[in-house]
Amino acid sequence: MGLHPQEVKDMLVGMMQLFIDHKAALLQALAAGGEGYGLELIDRVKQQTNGAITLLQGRVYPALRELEQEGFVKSYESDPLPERGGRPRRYYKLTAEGRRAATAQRNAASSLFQLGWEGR
Amino acid sequence: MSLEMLAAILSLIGAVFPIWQFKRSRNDFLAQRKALEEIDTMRLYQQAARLHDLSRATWAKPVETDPTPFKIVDPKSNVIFVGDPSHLDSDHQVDFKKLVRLMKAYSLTERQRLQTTQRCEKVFQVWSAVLPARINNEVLGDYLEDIHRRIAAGESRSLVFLRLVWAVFWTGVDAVGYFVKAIGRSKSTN
Repeated sequence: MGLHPQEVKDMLVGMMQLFIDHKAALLQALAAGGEGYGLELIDRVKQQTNGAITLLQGRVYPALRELEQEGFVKSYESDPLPERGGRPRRYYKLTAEGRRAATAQRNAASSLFQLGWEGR
Repeated sequence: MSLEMLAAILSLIGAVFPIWQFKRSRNDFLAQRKALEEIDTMRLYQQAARLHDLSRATWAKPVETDPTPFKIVDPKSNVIFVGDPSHLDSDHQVDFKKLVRLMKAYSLTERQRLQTTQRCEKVFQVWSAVLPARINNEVLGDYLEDIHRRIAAGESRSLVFLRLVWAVFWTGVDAVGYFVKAIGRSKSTN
């Protein structure tokens, strides 16, 4: 059974998602677009990267909880919503420390890419 | 009946049921897509023929004083699409009987969508009993919201079903991790 090249590409992209640093991506998404909840942050990353990076829903929530424990984000619950079966949304926003970490991360990444361009 | 026999019957049902469910929902999906394509080709005002408008539209027979034979009302935007026989040109020519038949077929699939939504909600309701409150509210809530969006976008029932299984699996994994961390924290404080 032969696979279509696009299917192979999709599979490889899917495997690549496993290696994406979810915590770093979430920090950047929160820094860029302000507060948001899990599903919204996944959409935000997908939109900002034109679909190149899709965060795995199963890894996003543990990553957000870790960021909260490390003091980079804080969270609060909204009112219960009918489309969630009466469950509230949990919104996350960056703390001052989280904002500093996101800026440092962005500076480090842009220096790295600059190094790549200069090396050509 | 021996235990082995019962296990064999259960695994047979377990193997056949998903295939049957997948085939059924695929057939529904194909029928729905065909109906929508037909509606689209009828070119009843291009806007009305789009999936999003039709999913919200209801059709109604007008009262006798109304000069128009039929109208389709979009309750959300209050747009009324009218087919007026005196102004029918080739672009707006509509076989209303056919349209009504197709819209009835479409409303059947709408009922199926509602059923799928209710089933998903029931499964999540049962599953939420064993999950910690935070995972139930945050993670399961997000999965349910996502499923609602997919159903509204017209995704087939088999894909929604897969999403449901995926959600149950990942929230289970998440809950185990959550408990393990909570136990680790309580031990370290002791």
